[in-house]
Amino acid sequence: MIRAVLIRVLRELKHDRRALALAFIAPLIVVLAFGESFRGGVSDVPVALVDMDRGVAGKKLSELVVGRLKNDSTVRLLVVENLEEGLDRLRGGEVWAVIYFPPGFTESVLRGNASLILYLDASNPAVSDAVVASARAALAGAAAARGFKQPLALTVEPVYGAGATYLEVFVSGVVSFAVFVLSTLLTLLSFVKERVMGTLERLKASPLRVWEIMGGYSVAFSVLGSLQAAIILGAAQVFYGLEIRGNPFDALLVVILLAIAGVNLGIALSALARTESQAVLTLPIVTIPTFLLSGVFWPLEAMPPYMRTVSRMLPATYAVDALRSVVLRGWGLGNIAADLAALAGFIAVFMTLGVIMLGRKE
Amino acid sequence: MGSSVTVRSLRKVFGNLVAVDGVSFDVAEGEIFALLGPNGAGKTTTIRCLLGLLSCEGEAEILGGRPGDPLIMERVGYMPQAPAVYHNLTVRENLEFFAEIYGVPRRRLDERVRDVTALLGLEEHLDRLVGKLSGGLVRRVSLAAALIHEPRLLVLDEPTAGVDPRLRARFWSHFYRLAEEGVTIILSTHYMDEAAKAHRVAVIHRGRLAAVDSPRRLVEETGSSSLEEAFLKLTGGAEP
Repeated sequence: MIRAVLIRVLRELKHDRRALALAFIAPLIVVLAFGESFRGGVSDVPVALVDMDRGVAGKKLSELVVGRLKNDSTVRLLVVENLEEGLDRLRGGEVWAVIYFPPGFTESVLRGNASLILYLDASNPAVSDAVVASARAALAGAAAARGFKQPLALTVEPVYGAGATYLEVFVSGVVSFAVFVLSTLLTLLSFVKERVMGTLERLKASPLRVWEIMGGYSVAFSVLGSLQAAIILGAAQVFYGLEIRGNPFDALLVVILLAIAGVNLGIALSALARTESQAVLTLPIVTIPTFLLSGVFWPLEAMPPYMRTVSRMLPATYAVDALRSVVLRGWGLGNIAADLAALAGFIAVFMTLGVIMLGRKE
Repeated sequence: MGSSVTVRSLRKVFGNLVAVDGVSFDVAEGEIFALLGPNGAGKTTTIRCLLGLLSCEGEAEILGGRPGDPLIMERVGYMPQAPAVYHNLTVRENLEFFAEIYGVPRRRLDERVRDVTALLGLEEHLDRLVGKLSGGLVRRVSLAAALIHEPRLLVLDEPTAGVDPRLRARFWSHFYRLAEEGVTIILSTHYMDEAAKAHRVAVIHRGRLAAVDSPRRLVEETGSSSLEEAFLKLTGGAEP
């Protein structure tokens, strides 16, 4: 009897080629996303270098430190003219840190009270910790090369994210993940159901236009996504003392755009998934890359550079970045405009795909 | 009576299968027109071409316009073969949704819901979830959804499949009443007794029209004693 059930189940799968293909493609995507994103440590983090060290008798200790940093793949040094320019770049999100050698750096070292100053964007600890570790290693290495007994001191000046808790760091990722996955998958399941139940056929034979169907879904899920975000952020504030440094309404705008992108991706995906089991199988294809590659928990800076290109093709990446900027950096709309524009771009692409998929006639 | 539906040389090919092959017919205003044929004859494909749901060769004009044009579709009611109503909504919520997308004015909404539910005996089920209803009741909800906006053209794909005889009689008495009011009805069926109730019958066989006429004349002209016999003669023998 078991045999009969077994054979029936396998035969059903055999006839649903799409489900079968998805069943094998999905785990492959999962393992590749995992393997590739965790392959290396943090690398290639842009850091501004301001070297004002005058040196003593033509010798600059700063060069010894810089030389070591240049050989460290964790950071990518960007030499700038002065501290102001470095800090501007930091505040503009171009660099994660500014390494500043004050004019009297070598003299102070010789007097025994050296201080290399590291201005830090600590809004993402995985990245900033790696930068701090690199700076310390370079200083220690330079000290050892000169035969100093103790390593050169480092002063860390957090510009953003000072005293940020882990919750504050990860809440943006949690919100983005929840909103994006929910809006995409619920829309996908809804549309597959509309197709299977025949209601989509009925809608297509009605005066409703394709964009009106998509618009209705988009608004519904923006509201749902906003409520979700409000619940997550509200609970984090009440229970865990989350402090949103920027304007919460800017955060809401990010969430709304992300939800609309999710809805329209769901509609486009519904053309690939004709049955409910196919829809369920697309679940890991949406969730796993979003979870691993969008910077939800694991920063882009910790992925191999080519994986960052994949990350940049995921809408949640921009939402996580924008939300984190609002929550931890206190940035306003002007600073997150590029992220918002990227999200709008995804919406445009997914909507176009959705219109094509829905409007397509056999 | 003006022509409500005009179809010329309709043709639809799926891969190797010619589903509809050069079908032409006219349906007059207020006429009940049955597409009669066995399963797979091309009835549903013809209907889907007619509504602009498939891209088909040939010409189709409904209510003086192009299938798929929102202004035309506003006056068309369609009941697909599948139940095609929302199972997670109540009967009332379903009807309100379809009323709104077909542009029924808000002030007329209650009256329309009352009318169609009274007509189809759904009053006591109005606030129940469709998913909790029996199959026959779901069919009624589906028909109600097609009628809610008082369409001028009603297209019904096997409206009485799986419907008990009493309910079927009720559907038909309503179809006649609508036809008297000038509503054009196109329905597909594979039941002979059902087709016999239509004003005219198009016999479809393997994607082609074998004959189009009133049931009585189809019987007479083929020298048959019943529509069933006429149908078998027209479709070339006793094979299914």
